[in-house]
Amino acid sequence: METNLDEALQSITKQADLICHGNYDNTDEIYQFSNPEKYPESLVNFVEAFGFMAVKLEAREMHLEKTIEELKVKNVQLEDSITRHNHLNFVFMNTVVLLSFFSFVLALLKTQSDTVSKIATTFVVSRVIEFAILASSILLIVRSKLPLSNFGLTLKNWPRAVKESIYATIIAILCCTLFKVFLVRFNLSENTYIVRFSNIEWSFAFYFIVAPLQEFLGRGVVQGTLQRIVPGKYGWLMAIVLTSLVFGTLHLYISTSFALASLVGSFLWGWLYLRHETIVGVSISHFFIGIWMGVLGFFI
Amino acid sequence: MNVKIEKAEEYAFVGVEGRVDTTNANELENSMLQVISDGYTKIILDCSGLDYISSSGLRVFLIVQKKITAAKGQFRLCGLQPGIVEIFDISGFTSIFSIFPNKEAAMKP
Repeated sequence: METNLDEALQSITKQADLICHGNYDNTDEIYQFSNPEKYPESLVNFVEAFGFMAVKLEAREMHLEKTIEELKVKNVQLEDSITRHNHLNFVFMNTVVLLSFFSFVLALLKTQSDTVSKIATTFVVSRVIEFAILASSILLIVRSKLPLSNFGLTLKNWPRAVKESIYATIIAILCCTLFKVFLVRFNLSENTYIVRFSNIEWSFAFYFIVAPLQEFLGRGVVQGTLQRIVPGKYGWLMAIVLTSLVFGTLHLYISTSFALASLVGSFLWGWLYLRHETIVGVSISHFFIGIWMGVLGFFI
Repeated sequence: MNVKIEKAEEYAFVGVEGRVDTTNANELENSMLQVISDGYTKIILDCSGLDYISSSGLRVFLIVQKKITAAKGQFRLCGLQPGIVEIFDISGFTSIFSIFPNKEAAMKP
């Protein structure tokens, strides 16, 4: 009997030591001493009490591990939420700065009587603003640590995106041309021609750069960020609408009708971007529609 | 102790009846581990016939829970008698196991 007790105590002491070190793997060893057919009742009760304590400790550790895992998930969600919040701050601040700056420029332009000077100033100011926003967008992308694909800078699905944008562009160009025919036919247009290719001057050469740049800023950075942060089932729609409103407003300096056309165009590019999330297709569409707007005389 | 195993397409149902103590905890452990080895990671353990469980039996539950958690599966208990629920409450098992009143409730996703 004494041998059994000594053996049981040695085993329990060993297991207690292991449990203290977080090792529960061999706890089963002690249960051999809780067999009432082989061992005295006092030993069986003692082993059972010890075993219950060990199980409770193990359960508590498991519960803690589970809680830690849940906290880790929550932490990732929290970090994601902070990133989204920072992106929203960035987009909001940039939009306010952009709109304010443009409004001041418009007010300034009102004081200039020379039309050529107005166009040149507007052109230069627009490019300066675009590159300023580009610089801050690059900063946002670097700081966000998100992949470039999150901002539309990806070639993923580009053949399909290009194909769809070409179809959409053809339809848009046809609609714009028909609209111009309507305006000319009913003397609602400031000019009397339907198309004039000589309208395409040197400044349109910049469109090779400006169209993708505007798409990157508008669709990739602003719409892409809003898509990620605007909650709800129709968050994507709100992202397109908000981006298009800003996009249209930024074209008010040319004319109200041009701003409206930009708004409609932005809805189209917003929808195309939503489908493939690459700026490849929308940039091509923006380029051709923009050039065609010039040919139709809407820029002038 | 009596262990009954039913294997369905998605879940394996294990029914345990009687007393689980030092003398038969290994048998329950082996049965449960065999079910996991057979590829089942969703197990429902029906405890409606379980009258008593010792610490060695409780440890079997912990072992199975660990194995299934590692396999990203589900280990659900159902039909616990009030006496067993009390033991579960004291041991802290209620916070780490998914416990359902009956088999039907345990089968719901």
